[in-house]
Amino acid sequence: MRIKEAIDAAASRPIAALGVSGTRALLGFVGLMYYVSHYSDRNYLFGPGPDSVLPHHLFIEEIKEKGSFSLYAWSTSQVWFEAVFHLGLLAALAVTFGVGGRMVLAAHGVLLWSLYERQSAFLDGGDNLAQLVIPMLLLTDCYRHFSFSSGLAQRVTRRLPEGLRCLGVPLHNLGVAAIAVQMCLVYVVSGLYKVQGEVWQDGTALFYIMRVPEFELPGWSSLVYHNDVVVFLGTYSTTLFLVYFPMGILVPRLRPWTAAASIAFHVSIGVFMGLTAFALTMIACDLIFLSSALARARETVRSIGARWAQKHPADVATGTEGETPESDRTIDAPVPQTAS
Amino acid sequence: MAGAALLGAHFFLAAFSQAPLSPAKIRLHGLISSYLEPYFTQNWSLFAPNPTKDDEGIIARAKCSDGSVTDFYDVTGPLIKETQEDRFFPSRTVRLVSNGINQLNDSDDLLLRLRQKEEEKNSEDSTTKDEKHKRVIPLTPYEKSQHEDAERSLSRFSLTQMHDVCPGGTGPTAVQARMYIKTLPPWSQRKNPEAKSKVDLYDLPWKKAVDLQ
Repeated sequence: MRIKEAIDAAASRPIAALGVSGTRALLGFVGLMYYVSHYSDRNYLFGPGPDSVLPHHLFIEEIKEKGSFSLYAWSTSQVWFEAVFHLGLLAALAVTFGVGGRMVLAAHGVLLWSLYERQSAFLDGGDNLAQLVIPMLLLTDCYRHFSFSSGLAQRVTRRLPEGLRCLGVPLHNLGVAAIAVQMCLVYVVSGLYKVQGEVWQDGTALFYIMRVPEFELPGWSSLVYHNDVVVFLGTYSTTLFLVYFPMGILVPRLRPWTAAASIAFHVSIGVFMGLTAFALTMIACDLIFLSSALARARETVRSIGARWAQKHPADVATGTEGETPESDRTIDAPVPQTAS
Repeated sequence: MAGAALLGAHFFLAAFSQAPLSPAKIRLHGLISSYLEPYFTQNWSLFAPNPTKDDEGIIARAKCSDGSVTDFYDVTGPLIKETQEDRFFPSRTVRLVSNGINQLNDSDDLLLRLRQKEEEKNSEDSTTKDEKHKRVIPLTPYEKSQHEDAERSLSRFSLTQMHDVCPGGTGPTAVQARMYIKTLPPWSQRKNPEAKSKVDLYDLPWKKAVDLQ
């Protein structure tokens, strides 16, 4: 019976809809900042002109060699370059604020991939993860929260035949599961490779990495790497956390704590090592494990808001949507199937 | 169910691509990479197994149209400073240097392991001691082309950072990059104020500006 219940739940109840919407919004923001932080240097870094640091013909060679694709490879015209770049920026902005639905997310994925390929020396694990997770997000209902709905999507859905429409929830759950498995793969692999490294075994890796000027926060990093206890604990807790991550999220009790630990870990990477985009991408994907905690936090914020509104009735913006209680548990009590 | 099966197959291949080197992996390399590349390529050995420890970068000098050669200009320094001062999405330009430096000695796992074995054998065997530095396995065409690409991109990057080093405002006609590897004092010397860093230098060949376009 358990298996049947599990399949029922997987087919009828969307998991982690709130978390995955958060993932979409935050990934959109990281993408947006990739455009914004290189905006003034865009011609030098990505442009087709003679002042480009990677001449266009070498870029074309690279693309061909990899068998890859980039919109920036289609033309050497300056107008085309500016159009694709600005379109990409707008798509990232739309994904961040939840405008336009999954079609825009797909367009953002293609445009961002194109820009990644234009200057592949810039890429790190965060970009790699974003590029893998965006197609998975396309399966999910990641516009349910934190978004503006145009109503178009709903109208399209209503026209779809019944049989196709009821695939929505299973596909959503499949997408969420894919992101979860991907995250486990990322953390476990990076943990297991660390275990093999000499400085990770010695417990001194943090000391060495934080001293490299490219990853140093002057004035602050030295406080960490000059403290023997912090270096040892930091190095060992990093590998332990990474290797045991799947266990931490498979046990529902431990799940929010594991995700919170991961977020804390990546916030410190962002601050101390200056890898803002990498850190926020990891955090964005961790949000899928925090759906119920996020829902609770949102309830708290709302009740505080409501109390505040009662005190100041003059400037109230009424906007409480009817929400279903949030759950990121895959297996719950069986629910009666509605509308399918 | 079909979706779950596909997902399982996908992640099995993705996980296999991340496994350590093994006979099975060498055998199936073509199959796996033809499925994963380029869109599902992944690499999660983040800062592992051996993280970067050294301060690496380049300085460069230029030849001007009047035949004079300029002093060395610090290419990496200003970029690192810029990155350190910005914690909110710093520019990634500095990675053009670190990536180029990594690419100089880029190889694949199998060759790396073979070379390491050769080196161990050479250092054990005392009779070949004077020939120790002789490279036993020659560079493969892939390694050579990676090295040349890296030389070109590092030189080109240096050139773009040194537009106005020549008198009269004319751009340099040639550029030479010098890579430095500063090995910082190890953990055991962390409390020794006398401990010095060791600096190794490696000169890239002169590159003409016109060839870098």
